[in-house]
Amino acid sequence: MTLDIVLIFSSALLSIGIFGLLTRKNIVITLMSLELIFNSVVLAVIGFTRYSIHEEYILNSLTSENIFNILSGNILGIFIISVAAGETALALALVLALGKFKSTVELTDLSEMKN
Amino acid sequence: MDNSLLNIFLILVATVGVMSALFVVVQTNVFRAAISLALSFISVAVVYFAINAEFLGAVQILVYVGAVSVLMAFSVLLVKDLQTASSSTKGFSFYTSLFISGLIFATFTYVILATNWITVENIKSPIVEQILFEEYVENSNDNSITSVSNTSLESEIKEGIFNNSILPIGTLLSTKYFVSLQLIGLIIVACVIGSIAVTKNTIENDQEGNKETV
Repeated sequence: MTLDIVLIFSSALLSIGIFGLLTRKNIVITLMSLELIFNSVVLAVIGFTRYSIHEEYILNSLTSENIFNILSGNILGIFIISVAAGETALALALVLALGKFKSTVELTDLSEMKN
Repeated sequence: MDNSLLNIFLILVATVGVMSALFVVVQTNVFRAAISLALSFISVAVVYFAINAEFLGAVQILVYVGAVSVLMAFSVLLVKDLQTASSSTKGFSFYTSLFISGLIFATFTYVILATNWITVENIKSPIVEQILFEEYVENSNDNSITSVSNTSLESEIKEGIFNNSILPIGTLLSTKYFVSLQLIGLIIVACVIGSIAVTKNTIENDQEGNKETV
């Protein structure tokens, strides 16, 4: 039941992020929707890590070497968060450059490479 | 064993998170959207703390609330015309995208509720439960873990690895995933150098433009 609540929260964040990506054309709000989607992915990973049964439990082969592997999902979450943070920093630098050069913040105005 | 209080708490926190996330995508003031995005991140971090992933909760608060939201707020303040966003749509209309995202949410919710997840609390068969949740003890000679009937060791191994997850995460990060950790650091350095290069060219061009106009 707890896993269900966590996963439904995750899917709600995912669908809200997709809604924001589809409707808004402000570039910063689009980035915020992307962050919401990253958050939902990490939340699902952590929920599965905490509440699903690991392979070593079922195979009854739990040793002191592989007992820490139960927490591998947390490592995956840390890596996703790190890459998303770097990507956000780069995207916001692009937003700053865009505001300087073109003085626009809307995605539909960026059509130099179209034709 | 009794998780009903935890479930109620999680439902409350998830309601706050979903409300603030909805506020992000319908808001026309971008600065308010950044603040409510920080509230949504905080509610996700509270969920992490509640389901025994304390390290992820701390990382979430440090990285997302402390860095990403502040960075968004700064970029809103630094770029003019960014304070008020137009609420007009691109490509899809409002109701089309509402239908698409609602369909995604309904499908995921149906699949989540209809699936019988094999979780720790869902074990029905007593034999499987006995096999899975017997107490374990480590043999000193061959490092294997065998089951004994000692009640104090059950929490130490099964729940304790989630209750004290800092040491196992640190051990994993410094042994098994060490190369991956270094590669992540390299990616972040590349992102920082790239963003500095992009912003530096912008500032230099802006200064040259000012000199020409003067």
